[in-house]
Formats: sequence, C-alpha cells, structure tokens
Amino acid sequence: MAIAKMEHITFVGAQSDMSSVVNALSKLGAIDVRRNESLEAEIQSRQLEMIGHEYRIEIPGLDFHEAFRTRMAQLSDPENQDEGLLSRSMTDYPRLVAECQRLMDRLDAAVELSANLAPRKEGLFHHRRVVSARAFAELAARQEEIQRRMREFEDEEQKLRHLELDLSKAYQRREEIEFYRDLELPHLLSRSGEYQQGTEHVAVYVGTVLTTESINDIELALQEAEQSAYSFEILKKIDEGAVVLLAAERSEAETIARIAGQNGFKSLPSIDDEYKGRYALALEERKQTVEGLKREIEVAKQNLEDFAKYREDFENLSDFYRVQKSRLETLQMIAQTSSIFVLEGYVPQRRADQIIELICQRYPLAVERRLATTEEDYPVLLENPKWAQPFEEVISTFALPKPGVDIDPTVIMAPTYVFFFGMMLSDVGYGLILSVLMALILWVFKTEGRSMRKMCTVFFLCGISSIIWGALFGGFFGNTISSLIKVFHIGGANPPGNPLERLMWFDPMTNPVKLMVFSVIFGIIHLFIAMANNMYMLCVTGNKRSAFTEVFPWYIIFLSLAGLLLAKQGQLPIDSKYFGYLAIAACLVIVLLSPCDSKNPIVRLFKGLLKLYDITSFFSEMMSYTRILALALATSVIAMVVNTLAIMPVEKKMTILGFVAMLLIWVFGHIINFALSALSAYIHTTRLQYVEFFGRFYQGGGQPFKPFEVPTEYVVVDYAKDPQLQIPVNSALKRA
Amino acid sequence: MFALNQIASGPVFALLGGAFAALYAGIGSARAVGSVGSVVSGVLAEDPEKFGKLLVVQALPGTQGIYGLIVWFFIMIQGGFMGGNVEISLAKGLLYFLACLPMAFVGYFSAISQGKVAADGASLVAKRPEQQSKALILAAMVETYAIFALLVSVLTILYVSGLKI
Repeated sequence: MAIAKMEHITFVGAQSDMSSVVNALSKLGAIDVRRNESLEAEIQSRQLEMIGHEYRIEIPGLDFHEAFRTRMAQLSDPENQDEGLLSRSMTDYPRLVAECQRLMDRLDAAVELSANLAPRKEGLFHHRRVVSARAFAELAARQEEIQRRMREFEDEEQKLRHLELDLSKAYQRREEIEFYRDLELPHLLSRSGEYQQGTEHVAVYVGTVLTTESINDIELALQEAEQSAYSFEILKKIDEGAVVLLAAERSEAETIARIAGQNGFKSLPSIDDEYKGRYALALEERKQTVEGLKREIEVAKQNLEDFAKYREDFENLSDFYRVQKSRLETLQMIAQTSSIFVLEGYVPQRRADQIIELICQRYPLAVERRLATTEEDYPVLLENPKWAQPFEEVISTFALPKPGVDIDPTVIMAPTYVFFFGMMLSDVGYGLILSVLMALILWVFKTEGRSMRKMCTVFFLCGISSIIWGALFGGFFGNTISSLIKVFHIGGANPPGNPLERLMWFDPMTNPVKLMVFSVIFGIIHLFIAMANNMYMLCVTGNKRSAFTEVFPWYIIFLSLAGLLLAKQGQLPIDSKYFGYLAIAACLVIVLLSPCDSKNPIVRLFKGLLKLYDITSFFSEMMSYTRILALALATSVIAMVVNTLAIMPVEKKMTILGFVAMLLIWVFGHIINFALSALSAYIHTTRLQYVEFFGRFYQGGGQPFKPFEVPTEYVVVDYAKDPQLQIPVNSALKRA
Repeated sequence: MFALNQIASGPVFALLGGAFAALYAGIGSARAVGSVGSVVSGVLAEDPEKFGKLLVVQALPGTQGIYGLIVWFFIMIQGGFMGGNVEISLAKGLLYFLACLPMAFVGYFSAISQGKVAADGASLVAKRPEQQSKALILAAMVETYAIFALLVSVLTILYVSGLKI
C-alpha cells in the first residue's frame, strides 16, 4: 500500500548488442527509460575533440524504403547482430519514426476500410487478437508484400472514388440535358429543330433568376443605363425563381447581358453543340455512360472487397510498426558512442533483480543500480493489495501522489468511497442493477481496457454497498414492496409489513434529521482520517512539531465540543465545563505553540489566531457531508414518485391494460432514476474524496510510471514461447 | 364566485410554493441542459464516438429540476394533497410557501451556472476525453448549493408540518 520503490538502473553494453537489449526490454515492459542529456552532451563534445567534427548520419547506399525495411527487420529481430547499423551515427531516427507513423496511418486507414467493407462480428467490447511471437516476428520478412497490397488497396479505392465521381457527373449532365429538353424553347428552334444563339440582329440568352422580382431590378438597372433594346420572357417558373429568356439587340447585347448579370441574371451553361435539338439521342448516350459506370463500379467494389480479407495482415503490420516505433523512440533516448551504449531508466524495485538477471544472462552488460531518492522525482507506480487496486484509478484521475510529499491514499480511501457511495444510492434494487451490470461487463463480456476494468470493479463494490445501505434504509426500488401490497390487497385487512423492515435501521423519509446527523458524524470521521494522514506525513518529513501543534489539537477541539454538547444534554456523567477547558487548552496550543517564521511575539500571536480561523473551513466541510442525506432522499423520493405514477392505472380496478401500463411506467421510471441517482452518487462521492478528504492532506503531482513496452492496438503478442528470454515473458509482463 | 378568503387560503399558498420550486428549478435545468446540449452537438459533429461521455456531462445540470420535483412532492405529501384531506391554515400555507423559496431561486440560478461549467466541461472532454471525471467534478461543485437549498426546503417543510398553527 504505497508508492512503489523505484531503482535507477544504468545498463552499459556493446553497441552491437544495443538493439537486442532494447528488443528484450520492450517485451519485459518494466523500465521507464530516461534520457541523460548531460552524458549525451559530454559524448558529443569528446567526439568533436577526437574526430574533429560532429557525428553525422550516414545511411549506406540503399534507397530509403529498402533501408527502412531492413532496419525494421533488425529492430524486431531479437538475435540481431547488426554491427551498429541501428546506432545513432548510422540511422536517422526521426526520419524512421516519421516513416513508421506514416505507414501506421495508411495501414490503419486500410484496416478501417476493410472493416467497413466486411464488418467482423464483434461483441460489445473490443478484444485484441492473440498473435504468436513467431508470427509477429515473421512480419519483418512480409513488410514489402503487405505494403504492396496496401498500396493496391489504396489504388483500388482511389479508382472507385474516381468512378463514383464520374457517375455523379454523368447524372448531373443528364439532368442538364433533361432540363434543356423540358424548357421547350419553340421559337429558338429552327425548323430542323436546332438551337440557335439568336439571329443576325438579335442575341438570345437563357438564364435563371432566383426570384421573379429580380427581373424588375434588372429592368430598373437597364433603364438607368439607358438601355431599351431588350426583352424579357419568363419561360418556366421554378420554386420562387424562373428560367428567363433575354433577347437583346446584337450591338448592345454585351452591355445588357453584363448589367443583367450584375443584378441577378445567371446565364445557363451552353449545351454541347452536338446535342442541340437531339435530346433523345443525348439522353440515350448518357444512359449508356451511366450504366457503363455502374458496371465498372460494381467490378471495382468486388475488387475492393477482395482486399478486405487482408485486414488481419494490415492490422498486424500496423502493430508491427507501432512496436518498432516505440523501440526507435527508446533508441533515440540512449546515449551512444561508436562502440558502446548507455541506457538509463527506472524499474520498480520489486522487479529489478528479475529484470537484471534476465537481461544479463543473455547479454554482456555492465549494470549500475541505486534506489531512487525523492529528490529526483522518480515516476510513480502504485502498489496495493488486490482488493484496493481498482481504486488507484480514482486516485490517478485526481493526481498521482508525489514521492516524498504524499502517501498513497488508495487503501485508506477505498472503504470510505464504497461506504459513501452506498449511502447515497441506498437502494437494494438499484444496487443490484449496478452490481449485475458491472459483473456482466467484467466477467461475461470481459472488457480489456485496464482503467475500464478498474472503474467497473469500483462500481461493482459500490453496488454491493448500495444493497447493504438499501436494506438498512428499507428501500427496494423505493417503496415498491408496500405499493404492491397496497395494489394487490395482499393480506386483506391486515397487510404484512415490509419484509425489509427486520433489517432496517431507520427510514430517512420519516426521520431525515437522524440521517443528517449521521452524515455529518461520518463526515467528521472521514476528516479525522484525513488529518491522521496529514499528521503521519508531517512526522515522516520531519515536521513533528507542526503535526502536534497544528493538526492534533483539532481532534481535541472537536471531540471536546462534542463532549460539551452531550454533557449539556445530560448524556455524560461529567460536568460540561471540563470539556470547555479542554477545548480552550487545545486552542491555546495552536495559537501559542505552532511553528512560525517570525520571532516577534505579537506577529506570532496574530498568526496563531489566524490559524484558529481554520475552524470555519472545518465547519463548511462537515456540512458538505449533508449531501449524503439529500442524495439518499432524492433517490427514494423519485422512486416513490415513479411508484405512485405506476399504480395509478390499477388503483381503482385491475385491468390487463392497466397492468401493462403499470409495468411500463415502473420499468422506465426506475431505469431513469437508477441512471441519474447512480451518476449523482458517483460524482458526489468523488467530490467528497477530492475536495474534503484530499484537501486535508494530499498534494499530488507525481508523474506516472510509463514503462517501455510493446504498445499494440489490434493484437496481443504472445511472448510465452519467445526464445530470447528464458522465463515466460507474459508472466513477467503481468504487472501489479 | 370565490371569496377572497377562499383564494388567499393555506392550501393555495402551499401549492404555490411547491409549484414555484418545481417551476423555477425546472426552467433553470431546462435552460442549462439545453445550452450544454448545443455545445455537445457541436462536439459530436466532429467526433460522434464521444456521445456516451458527453451525455453524462449534459445530464449534470438537470438535477436541479429533480430537486424541484422533490420539494413539490414533499408539499403534496405533507400538505395532505395526495391523501385528499387538505387542512392547512393560512399561516401554515404561507410558511410552506416560504420553505419552497430557497429551492426555487437557488435551483434556478445554480442550474444556469452549472450549465455554463458543464458546457465548458464538454469542450474539455472534446479535447481531452480522459479528463471527463474532472469536468464532472467541476460542475458538481456548483450543484452543492442546489443540494443545500434542497435540504433547507425539505427540512423546513417537515418542521412546518409538525407545527400546530
């Protein structure tokens, strides 16, 4: 139950082993690799001294894609003896990383496309495929083949896009022709039926206006321009606008057309000469084009669907590059000379021996290890007993503890989280729904995401707590049981009591003040726990005086205030004034003895008094816990409203229709109330933890432990029989 | 014709209070949920997969409306409206009315403010979906005051119903 102890480990080895060591470490997934910039700078300046120039990247004379594939193969090969081909001086890491990313993006697009073409039957939750280590390693040799297939797939898709574009153009063209045909411009057609652009003296334009009023605008504008040799005719009305024929005297035609154009007249595109007047023929031709295109599209789709069967290849290769990319990024962080490399990073102490043994039995490496100190702000991994692990998710959502400043509050927080959540939801029925739902997600659908699983486990436990609190407060879908007893007249004249009554503590509906008092009492206990954490941390970090003069007296103050209250009511056999004295003494400790930077007694007194002012924040925090009462009431009142509505149709007389209506209202109403109440309970429990509880002792700000591992998206590589490492790696992979 | 003393009677004021609480808290929630909804649809246009996460954010400022409903329900129960036996003196009716005011006003204004925080939360979730729980908590900070108002109203109604006036 703590922040895992970390060891800082430095591996020094021969350049020729570097990529193999990186390969092995990625499979172990236990080291958070760090860059040592000062060492790199040192190496660089020495190199400058020795060879007189900075190291430069020299990629041997292969073409880039060839070189890329070779390097990927080397990276994925655990037995790689590349003689430094992957060293900093021989490899342009950023360029390879970029190439990996580019290929990953294209492969992912191919995967998505194949998924759309041939959807795979999948459950509610995504599960990754298991791939053997051997099959995954063989991808290195298949890179070219799969990439080629990917390109063909892309080309085929491109072709389909073009065909579809052509088809839509053909349709558009057809519509245009139909439009001209339907215009029926009789006086524009000569006897042979051909469309004319006017006569020797008259120019003719056909165009559209958006509204018929535009014609008036155009006429006004033409009058202003002192043009009169024109004529308009509305050929056809379309919606608000119209198709308009504009005839103008040839000599003024251009000016008139320009002015008309400025005022909303839009000329129609002229139709290809060959089709003028021969619409039937033109349409027939278009029809043939459309059908031809449709056939081609059909073929292209077939071709494309053929590629969908390579989806697994695309997925595998995408993950292959994803893994190599993470290895490349790690290589980039390693300090290297021409003959050796220095790899540094953090490893959880629990696993350090194992990791070093595994790596060193295969590769001749020098190892330096030391325990990480709080000064270097090492990465944070939480280690907790199994039952508390799910709650780490709640902590990390807020902030991870900072080494040396915080303790890991998971174990302390977990029971209170479940406790408060249950109190807020407090219904046997709703608790059952929540737990069953979460159990289904966890153990039937077997969802994979680690944080998803953790949160579901948290809610599963919260559901059980809700069942317990529901029994204590007598709620089963609100007052469903007593409503049913009433509706079905069970027991006749003397109906049986609520069967939950025997388990019941009290009913918050009839006795809300009691629940309010208990909410605040539980809240005070919660705050007391937080203060104990604070004292512990203060003692560990050497602020014992602070712990006992600034935090501890508050316990005395609140307990003696409670004692005072009880004694005044005559519930304690002690005179209330002694409690008063005790409280005053505790206040004096805070005012006079708490540490202060100033030596001036008056300043000290004032600062001490100011610390007493903290009592206001204590009271507001305590009152904040009354939300438990409000939320418990909200759940049961809404449930009661739902039940009241549900029994309305059958209250007077039981009918089948009424029964169905009752059932529908009941189910629907309770589903909604369950969803809203569970959401509220989650949010407000979390708030009580984050604001009230953490506020008293927790700082946060630790950076998460991010192990170097194989970050796959589609597959899980089964390294169990990997020859590189002597023990089954997957069992080592299972981190806490 | 109703005489004035029939209109200005206990049950009328009691129900007026319950209606007030449900009305204003409800209007506030409706406005807030609506405004968050339009931000959410904007985000969904870009990324429809965030629907589940954003729906939760949108639901947040809806609780005030529920609290209004709860206060109304307490008036109906404690005033005897549901049992068909309404006997409320004028003084008691006025006290019920006063008891409902905190929920009406705090409900309305806190819903609107919570809506603003939730709308910003929706943009936060759009950019960084893993920060959803923080967006939820920030909006819930505002809700605290609606919860207090609910407690004030409900507890006052309960105490008033015990008074012999």
